[in-house]
Amino acid sequence: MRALERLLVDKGLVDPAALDAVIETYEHRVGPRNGAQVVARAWTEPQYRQWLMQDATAAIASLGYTGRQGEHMIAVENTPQVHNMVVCTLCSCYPWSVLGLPPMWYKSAPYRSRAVSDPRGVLKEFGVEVDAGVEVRVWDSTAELRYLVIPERPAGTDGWSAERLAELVTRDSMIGVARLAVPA
Amino acid sequence: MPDPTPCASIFGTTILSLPELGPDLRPIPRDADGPVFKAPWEAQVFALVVQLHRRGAYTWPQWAAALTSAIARAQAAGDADLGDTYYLHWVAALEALASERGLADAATLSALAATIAEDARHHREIQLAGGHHHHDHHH
Repeated sequence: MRALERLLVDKGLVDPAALDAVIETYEHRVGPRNGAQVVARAWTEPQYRQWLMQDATAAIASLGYTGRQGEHMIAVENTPQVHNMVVCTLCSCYPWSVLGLPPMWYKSAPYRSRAVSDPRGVLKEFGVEVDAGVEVRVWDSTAELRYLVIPERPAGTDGWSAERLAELVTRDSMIGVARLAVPA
Repeated sequence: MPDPTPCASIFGTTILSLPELGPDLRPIPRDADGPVFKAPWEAQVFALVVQLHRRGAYTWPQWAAALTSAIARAQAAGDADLGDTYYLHWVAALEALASERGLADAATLSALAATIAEDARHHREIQLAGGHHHHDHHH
């Protein structure tokens, strides 16, 4: 790796300090906490939720989370009738600005294939039982389009602040392979 | 009795290659929320790809296409592709893209491939031995 890095640095194509900054950002600054803020705000502010559903790229950028790959964001909302889950069948496109870098399983061939061929089976493997009457929608991410699942707000959280709600929101729930509950 | 709802609706891109591949029946590997990068070379290739894109060396769709091809080549060569070899795909894709777009010469790229293979082998030996890889970055 160092050989190419040195060559590219020598050619002036990359700056070593910028490489360190990229690593620092993705190791420590960007992660699912960003997405959790978006979700909690959508749950507590109807106007923000409406904006998010209409123009997720702008609504998410307003919180300071912007993608650097020129991608557009789309928010998809779980309801009692519809369960959304996200995959990238061809490689590993993922909404970095709100979720950080993807977990290993998201990048694995079995998930990329089976999320499409057997989404209910995959959800069951993640411990999510979806009733036969609930529609499962699978969203295939691309280099230009990334999806954020807005999970259902757990029961028993009436009157909670956005800060407190954000602590409940997990990475997997925003990929659509987990449901949320208030810890007992 | 017919299923009252569609099993899955697919949006976004059309899936072109799935029918001939058939379903992948293997269980999905699960990982704990470990470190973002498992070894320094993974972080290095990630940062190089991101930074070269920012500097305009290629568009992100060009990168995604190169990565998709690299994954297909690795699978064809027998890679189980369970996510643990993911950054090797990045290395292969960066090599292909760098070569295609004239970002580096062939000799450097083959030296790079050898270095990566060595790093990856070393890292796997440490994992097999149950040791912890010290994770830091020196540039």
